[in-house]
Amino acid sequence: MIWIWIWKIVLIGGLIGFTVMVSVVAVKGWGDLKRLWLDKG
Amino acid sequence: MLHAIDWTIIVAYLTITFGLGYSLKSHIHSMKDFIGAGQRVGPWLSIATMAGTETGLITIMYSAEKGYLGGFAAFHIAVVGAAVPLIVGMTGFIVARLRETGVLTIPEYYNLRFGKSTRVLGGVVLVLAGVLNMGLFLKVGAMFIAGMIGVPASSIGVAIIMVILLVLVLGYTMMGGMMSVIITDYLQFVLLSLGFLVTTGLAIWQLGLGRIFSTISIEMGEAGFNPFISTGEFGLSYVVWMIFTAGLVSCAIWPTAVARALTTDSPETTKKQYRWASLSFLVRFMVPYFWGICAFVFFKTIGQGLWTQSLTPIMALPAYLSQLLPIGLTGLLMAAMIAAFMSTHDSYLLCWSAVIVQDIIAPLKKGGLDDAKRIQYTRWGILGIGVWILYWGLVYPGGDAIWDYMAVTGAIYFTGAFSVLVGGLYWKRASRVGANAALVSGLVAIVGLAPAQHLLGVSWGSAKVGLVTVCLSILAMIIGSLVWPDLKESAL
Repeated sequence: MIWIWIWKIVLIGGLIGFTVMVSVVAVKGWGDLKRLWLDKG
Repeated sequence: MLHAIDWTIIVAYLTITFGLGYSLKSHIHSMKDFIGAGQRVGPWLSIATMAGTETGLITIMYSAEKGYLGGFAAFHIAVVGAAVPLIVGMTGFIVARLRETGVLTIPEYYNLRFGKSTRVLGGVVLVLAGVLNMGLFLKVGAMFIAGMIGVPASSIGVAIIMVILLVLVLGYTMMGGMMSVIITDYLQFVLLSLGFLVTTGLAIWQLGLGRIFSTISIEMGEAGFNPFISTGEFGLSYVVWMIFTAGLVSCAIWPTAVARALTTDSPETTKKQYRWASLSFLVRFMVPYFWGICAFVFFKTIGQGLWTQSLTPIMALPAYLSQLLPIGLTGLLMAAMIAAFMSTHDSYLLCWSAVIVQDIIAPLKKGGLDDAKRIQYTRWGILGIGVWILYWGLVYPGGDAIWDYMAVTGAIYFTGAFSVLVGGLYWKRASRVGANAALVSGLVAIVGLAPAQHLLGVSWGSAKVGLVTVCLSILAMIIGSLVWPDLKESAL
């Protein structure tokens, strides 16, 4: 069934993509956070 | 029951969050700071905070329920939930134009485009729908925690957990406003993502991908994979309804998501925020669906002896996770789930309360309101809504699946708001009368709720009621605008 392959690709691809996204956003978001914190006063 | 190590992790997380909220109290100088973090949020932080807000514990619970009942076919919601924000991020549809106007809330835009009456009406409809929509958040969140620590879902213990969670989230949201929400959202995003990835890896390791797919195939057949099969959990009208709700509405019309788009430092940042967040929009649905599927497979195979008649689809996830996770990881996941709970509640409480003050009270009050009063009223609004969701969670009889309850209550607002926003931003002839008529038409969606249908003696699917309401509000916008055009041009 084609649907099984579609959902397997979505699952594995989604998890890999999400891992990359979280790593990038966590590191660069920390920089934004520091700027907002220093700027808040 | 939880181990002492698990409790230590949870208490440490809560202490940090609460401490941050308290430390930011003295840095709130204006209403713009309190509800919009001064519109100074950079692109990467805005992505983290949007992803944190839009992945709530309620999202996880209702998605797991859908996965448990519908199998992999539920994944179609995750796919449209990611594809539409990606398109919005590439085109800037609705959100970038809205950000260009510099407004902080959607009704504020109504005011600029259509005038005060549309702002107040839009604010009332939004708050009515929004507060009803979050009515079950607290109860479902408490049920999850109860399930994880072994407290029966029907006991007084759930009510006690509800009160504890509410006090925590009210504390730091009332103190620090959007500054506190954004900073804690970042921590919650990191913790939640970690919890998502580790737990999913563990579930695959325990059950094996082959067994997961083959069990769904045996137990559910093609309906467990193909969302278009009408004999399954979904069907064509449901898929279309999801493209609209889980796709467009949840990212570009729903006020809490739009509130994030409006806190960025530029329309370009907003577009970037959507392009990146689209991946988290995929995962926020897909991972809980997968967990629900794994719970189903677990209780059908290796955990068959642990299945009991009282185990409802909604409680299957916490029951499964309490079996899956070892000491330490249970505490981490619990902290992540409490993070998911808080990151959604804080934003929703702040958003609805800000709309009550900015878009209903302030425009109606003669002489206006100064910033100090606005902040004070917003804090009281947060407290009032908190008490309301505690009450509603305890008394609502229900009957709807949680996701359907949320889609219908949300539709009261977003079916009308869709027409008003798209009409206002992209159609010059859109008028005040058309906008007001579209907003009122959205109220028809309330017919989709189980108690309302019981009262009327009908049984219509929530997807069909929702789609009919969208068509009604579009028609109301077009006819109202053509028959009663505005006499003077709008401020935009």
